[in-house]
Amino acid sequence: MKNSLKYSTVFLLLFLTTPEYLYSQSGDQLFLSNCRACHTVGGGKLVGPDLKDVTTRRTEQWLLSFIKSSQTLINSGDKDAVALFNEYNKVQMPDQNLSEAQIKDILAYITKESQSASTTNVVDKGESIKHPVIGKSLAEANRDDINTGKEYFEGTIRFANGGPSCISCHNVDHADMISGGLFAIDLTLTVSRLGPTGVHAMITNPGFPAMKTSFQNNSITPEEAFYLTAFLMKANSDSEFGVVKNSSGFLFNTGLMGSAFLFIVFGGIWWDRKRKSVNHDIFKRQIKSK
Amino acid sequence: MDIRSQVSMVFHLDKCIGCHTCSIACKNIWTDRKGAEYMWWNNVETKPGTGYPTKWEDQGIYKGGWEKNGDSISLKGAGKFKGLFNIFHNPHLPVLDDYYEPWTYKYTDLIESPEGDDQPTARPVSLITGKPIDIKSGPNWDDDLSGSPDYARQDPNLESLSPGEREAMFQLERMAFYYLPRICNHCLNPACVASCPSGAIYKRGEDGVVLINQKVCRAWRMCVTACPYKKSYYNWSTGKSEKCILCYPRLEAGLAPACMHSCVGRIRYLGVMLYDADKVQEIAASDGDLVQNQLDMILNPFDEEIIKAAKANGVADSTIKAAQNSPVYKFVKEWGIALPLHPEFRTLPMLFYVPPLLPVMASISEKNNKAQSEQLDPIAKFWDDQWLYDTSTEEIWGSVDQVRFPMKYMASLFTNGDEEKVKDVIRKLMAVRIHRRGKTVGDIDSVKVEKVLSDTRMSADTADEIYYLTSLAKFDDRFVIPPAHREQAFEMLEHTSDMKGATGFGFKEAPSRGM
Repeated sequence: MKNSLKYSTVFLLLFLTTPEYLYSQSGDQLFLSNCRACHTVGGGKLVGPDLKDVTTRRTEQWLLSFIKSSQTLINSGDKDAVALFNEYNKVQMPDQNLSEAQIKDILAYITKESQSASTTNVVDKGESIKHPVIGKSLAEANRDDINTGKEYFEGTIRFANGGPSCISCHNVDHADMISGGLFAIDLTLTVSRLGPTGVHAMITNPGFPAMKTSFQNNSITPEEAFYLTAFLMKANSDSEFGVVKNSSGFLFNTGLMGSAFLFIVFGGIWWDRKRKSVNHDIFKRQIKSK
Repeated sequence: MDIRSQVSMVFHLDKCIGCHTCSIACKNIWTDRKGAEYMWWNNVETKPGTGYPTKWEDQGIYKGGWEKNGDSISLKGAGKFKGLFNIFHNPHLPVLDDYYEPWTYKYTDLIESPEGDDQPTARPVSLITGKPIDIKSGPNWDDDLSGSPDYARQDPNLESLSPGEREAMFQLERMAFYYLPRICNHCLNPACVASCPSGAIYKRGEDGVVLINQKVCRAWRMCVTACPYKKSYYNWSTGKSEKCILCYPRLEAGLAPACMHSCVGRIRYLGVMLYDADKVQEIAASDGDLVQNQLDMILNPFDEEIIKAAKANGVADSTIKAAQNSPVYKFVKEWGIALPLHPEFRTLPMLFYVPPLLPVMASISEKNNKAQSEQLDPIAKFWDDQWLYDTSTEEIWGSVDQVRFPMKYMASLFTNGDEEKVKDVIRKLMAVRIHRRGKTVGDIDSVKVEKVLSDTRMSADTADEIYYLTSLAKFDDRFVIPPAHREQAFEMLEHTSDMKGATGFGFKEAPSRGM
């Protein structure tokens, strides 16, 4: 009781001292909720490129049209856009439902950040992602953590905020798990593509429209995201080394053999059944009109 | 004792001429409807033959009737567990080809065809699909065809006969046959009632008529499988099963069922018999002489004790009186010359048959005539088969052992293989003829007549009675229908005194006097 009172006081203080943080969508907030899943400013590549100094590299007009609809720009044959698209594994940047003013806010934020941040090119092994409570990094995740991640993924454990389980839309090839949904991309090798940090960012702060809508009001907690990323890393490495057993052929073959067995057994049981008309032979002989 | 009354029937096969009038009368009244065209609640079969539906007697195919199961009996192809396992496909059902595809002809083609080189013909059209068909079979397709390899020789009852005996049956220009008219037997232990998963079939309390409640029937068709006589039919149009109702609306009005009323040969008799319903299960599951056991169940309506017990059980006085006058009781119990059809199905059928005597012109038997053949000149014509067609009978009636149809065949139909029992009935029938011939023609020695009667344990009076009921009986002698007491039934439904003192019939109209 005492504790909860303390927490609520802290919360109340936060609430009162940083009203902007909660009420206005300033440039940094917009960046966090819309871009951070795939981009950093000086933090190195994630899904998409590091955006440090992007405002100096490109014109504002180009950035505006790319952010609004990257595909339109690519389809129109813009050289830079096509090169960028090819460089980043043809991962499509989703169209952003942002007003011009909002985009400008974001760009202003990036310009500001670019001045302070220094470019680093780190090999992402997930060291930077830490468990929010016990402080363990993803690289240190053990079997239990991975299992917890798996259980979150397949919905054995519900997400704390009630979001839908990953398996309803995504598939991951895993020996102990049934096939997942086909509505969204297969996540088996997604860590190779995005890196653990990218995946983690995508989970905590979804960038793609469908996922964004799904988790808008029931976001995944950092703790859950940690376990899920751990699981996806494991699934990724297992799959890369060919550990995953593909069971779809097994199912088909067992089904085939099982039905053959049933046909034989029931054929035997019903062998004595009346199978055709008692007049069959007589009728077969009769001459039929054309 | 649980004494109930049962309307039962006797068909005298010696008198059946196979005219199918009964079938037509029945069809015109009851089954001339869509979906019922193929149903023949009454049909007449030629025996030996496979009947309708084809081979209905072969329960190896159709799994009808009861089978003995320890001390009790169980349904062969239906019932609680077998029925449940088979409820959605019911593999033993006869298919339409086991019956026949009903058809009519496109008669309008005869008068509406354009002028051409050929005569117009009326094409057969299926009554099920409405399309032109090749007629493959009909309800009496093997009518009058006793020697046909397709039908007569497939008769399931021939299984008990040796190949020689079978051959003998077909030798007489392939013309030895008789007719077997069949309707629902209104059994005392009906397999159809026992098999119905919906409980739609019931045996009427007052007269034992077995009926299907069309409102309760759910088209499981278990009754079609269960009835060993295949007298329950499925109406594909209404999705309900139907069967012979023994013309109960006619019975209640005091009229004989249509098939019986219309019978040209007057072969049919109908009357009430009293039986002990407590014994049904015991008798149906009994060993030994099934026919005798069934007859033992039928009670003497003159016995004071039985009359008392019957009255206590609600059997009306008029019904007891009808039972006393019942021609069926006389044929079945008093004289013992009527037998149930296929008692081995254990349904205790209440339609009895007087087996055909078949006047014996000659007999045919399998003889070793090798010695005789050897005496013939090599160029002489001789038959290397072993048949002896013997016309040298001592009596004009021949002897019972020389009747055309082997006793085994008749026994397979009527007595579950007991040849002596059929022989006894045939002997009695013959004794009546010898007695009457002695009386009317007078060319038979009276000593012989008396010996024949005493051999068959009959008095001359009994023989005369049998003769009367067989040959001279009037309508009211053949059909003793108990009053249905419909007025009492009415009183159970309505208060007949409600209208007492009311102002007559018709609609109430206000007087119009220009007011």
